[in-house]
Amino acid sequence: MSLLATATPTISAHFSAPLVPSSHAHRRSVAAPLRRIRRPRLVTVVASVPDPAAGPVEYTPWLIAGLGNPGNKYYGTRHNVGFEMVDRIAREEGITMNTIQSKSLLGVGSIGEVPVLLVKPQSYMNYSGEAIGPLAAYYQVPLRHVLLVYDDMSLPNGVLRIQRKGGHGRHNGLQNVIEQLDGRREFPRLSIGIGNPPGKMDTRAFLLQKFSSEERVQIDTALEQGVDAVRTLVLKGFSGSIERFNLVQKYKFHRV
Amino acid sequence: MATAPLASRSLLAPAQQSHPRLPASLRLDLSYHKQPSANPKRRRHHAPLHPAFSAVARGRAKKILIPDTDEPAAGVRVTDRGLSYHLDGAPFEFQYSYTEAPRARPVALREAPFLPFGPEATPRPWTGRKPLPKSRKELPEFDSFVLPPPGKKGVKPVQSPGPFLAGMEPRYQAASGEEVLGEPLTKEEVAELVKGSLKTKRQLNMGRDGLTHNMLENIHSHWKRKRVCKIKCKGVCTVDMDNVCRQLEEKVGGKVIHRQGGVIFLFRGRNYNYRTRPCFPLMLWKPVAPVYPRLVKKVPDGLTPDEATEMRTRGRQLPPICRLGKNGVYINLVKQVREAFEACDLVRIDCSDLNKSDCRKIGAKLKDLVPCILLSFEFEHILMWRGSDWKSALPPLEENNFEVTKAQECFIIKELNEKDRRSRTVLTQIELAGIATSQKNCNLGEGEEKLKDTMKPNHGSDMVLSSAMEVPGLFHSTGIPVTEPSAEAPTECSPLNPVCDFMDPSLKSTLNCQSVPSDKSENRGLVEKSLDHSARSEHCQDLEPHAGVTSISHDLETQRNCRSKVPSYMVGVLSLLEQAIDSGRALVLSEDELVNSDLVYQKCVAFTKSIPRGQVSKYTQSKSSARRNGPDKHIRTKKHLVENKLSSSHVENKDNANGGLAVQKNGHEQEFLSDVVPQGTLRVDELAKLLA
Repeated sequence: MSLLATATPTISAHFSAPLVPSSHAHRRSVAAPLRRIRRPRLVTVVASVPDPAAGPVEYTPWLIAGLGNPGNKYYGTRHNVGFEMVDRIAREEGITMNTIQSKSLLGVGSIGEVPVLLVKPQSYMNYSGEAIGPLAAYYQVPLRHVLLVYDDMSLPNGVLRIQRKGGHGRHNGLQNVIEQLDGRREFPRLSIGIGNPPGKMDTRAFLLQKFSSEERVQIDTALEQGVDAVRTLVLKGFSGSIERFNLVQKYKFHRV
Repeated sequence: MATAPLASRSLLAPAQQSHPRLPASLRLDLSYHKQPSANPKRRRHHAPLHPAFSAVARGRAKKILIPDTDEPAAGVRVTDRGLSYHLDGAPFEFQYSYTEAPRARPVALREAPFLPFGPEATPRPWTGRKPLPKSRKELPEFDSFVLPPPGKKGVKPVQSPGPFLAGMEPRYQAASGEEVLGEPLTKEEVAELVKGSLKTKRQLNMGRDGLTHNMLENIHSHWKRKRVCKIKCKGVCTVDMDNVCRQLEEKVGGKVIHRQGGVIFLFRGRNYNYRTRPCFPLMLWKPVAPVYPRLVKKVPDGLTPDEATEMRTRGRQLPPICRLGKNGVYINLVKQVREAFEACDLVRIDCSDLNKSDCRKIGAKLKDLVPCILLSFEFEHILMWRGSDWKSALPPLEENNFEVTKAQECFIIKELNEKDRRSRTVLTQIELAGIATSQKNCNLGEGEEKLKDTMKPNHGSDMVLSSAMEVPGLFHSTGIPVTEPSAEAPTECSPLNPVCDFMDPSLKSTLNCQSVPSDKSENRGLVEKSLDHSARSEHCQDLEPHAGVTSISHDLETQRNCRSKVPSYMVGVLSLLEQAIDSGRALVLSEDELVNSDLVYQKCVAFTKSIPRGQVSKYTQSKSSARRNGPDKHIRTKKHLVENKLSSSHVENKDNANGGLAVQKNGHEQEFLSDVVPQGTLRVDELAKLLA
């Protein structure tokens, strides 16, 4: 119907008579067929800047899973940043995680108008896939809407990165998830950088250590930024703002 | 460097030159006290010296200032790209290197200019051997279109010309470059050519000198035998790969069909004939590079000396953005430097593994490509400044930008929608205020100032402050009984409402965070609902009375509303959740159990063990079929979003369909070969017989 509404000026100019919108219908049959076929392009509103009032890109649910080890012993360790991020998101969005299903703790809620499942697998890290895979299947979440939040040793401490797809980078949790999803790697991820182990430290010991105080501060700021980023991702999908976010994060410590 | 006066030398310089030396008698005495200044090799001063060891070669390089005339010597031109040699009849001016010549005009020459193409005019004495006598054997002229017969022995392999498109004749008399190239290659032809040449061991290497003049001849000799020449670039020349490809196509006349990292694949042309290729004279000597203007100015333009030193001291603490390895591929370096300039005005690159001259060369290239100003090369790092007239390449931020927080000030300063964004972040922080960190406090302070401009005079900033301080208390109170918020809500609604007046209607989508109705989140739901109402009722213009009159009954009503009204987009997921709870696959924990993560874990383990096995294994199969039906499913959810009944029935249908499909697929798999073959007990030969 907007087709007709915006085509009015041209047609009316052609006929040199003011056309009332109601009478437009029968006029349409006379000359508009030619016009309509030839000029659909002029009518569509092409916005280079997305309309802020528009709703989310897609209404299909998202499954945001944070990888980590359950229990108080592993609370606050480097390998558990995924849990911390998911906790943060739950707090910010007011979603309570109070359901146990498929070996994980989950909470159902929404960000804006998009339903969201927040999942914290309670199987240990190496078996996270067995918790997440069946959940995604049960709630019929498409693979491109499964967001995995995990720690990444290839990024410096406190740097976040959102990727559309990727590999596992020797992360046991990710490996298990990829295996359980039949080898599919095209799910988005949010990796939280924790830096390399210093010197010849054992990797596993490094991962199960808690953060130092300066690192803790960096991670806290990173978590805040990450929550914003997750919101943008869920509402807008992968767009220029995600690339910009990645760039900002990459150079956020580059100042003197 | 010696600043010698203008030394006029003829082209044929004498072999010997006088240079200050102590008389022979004194030299022996001094040798006890000082290190030998001459070369430590045992020298017979009195024997006739070989011209290579003469002072001409050994002495300090004397600079020759370039005269004003264009050509200091026959054919040698000083251009903005260094030295170029002009020969009559040549298609273009020759240079030593076509890609690595610095884009600056040389200031002085280091030796007398000469044409390096032949032994005729050179000031250096000839130190080589006599050329070998030419072979008497008559070699037939090589013509690409006249190939040796395939069976002939003793012939090196030659690829035929082509590839030719169907129906087109090879052009034997291809004269110009475009004719030699022929039609543009189709995608399939390109793929085929590239696939054939990806793994060749024959390749040309391009290093710090880039595309040299003699390399042109090498490329032609490659093309004599093969259609595609593989050139591997490493090191300095990879900083500007685009220029390399452009120069290759111009000077050699081929076409770059594929680029992969630092490797270039150069196609010779459909109608290439080695016999009619352009022949260039080879450069027999490497000309000494002229003197170029300094790369690093002590005080760059637009800076005072103090500012320059301050920048250099700052640069010493800056962490480098990357570390360059020797002979690496640096194609992303320019892009990384440009990105890094968005974050900070100084950039440092670690060049510890490189040669010093390579480090300078990379610095010079970066100076031209990323336009920037080099500040220093100390400690084997390159320190660059982006310049005072630097413009950000990032597009201005969109309106609804969530991810940029206050921490990223240097990005924020350049925004256009500053005001809108700040007012929104203030509101989101009021809504979702966590622990009030110092950052957020000053954010609120900043946001208030912005709001002051936009708000009407009667709503002062103190109301915003008070609401901000009160609201966090409200949101973080757990276990508040239902009746309490009714008392607090009136005070909450009124200060928040005027703020809502100035919100865009779009904001309500961002603030409208619904959650599963539960005891804890009821308060939230209430306040959000009232916010929602207030935002939506802007058009109804009953804002003020709505905000003012919040009686207890009204609150209870809204509570009841938000409890019963489940938004349409949540229906599918919530119904699945309810089904899971009902069928025993899921368990809802109460609040006190959620506190301790150990407790949660134990409950989870206990619960998982109590589930019957059959239900768990079903998920993976339905997962695979759900994935396959993914695209249709989400289209369907979009369409039936509003209607409750349809979507719930759709969910049920999906389940049945999935189950049915899964069962069918399983059965189908079992059927095949099940009666013939006992699973896994066949030997290979029997299997082969069955499958043949």
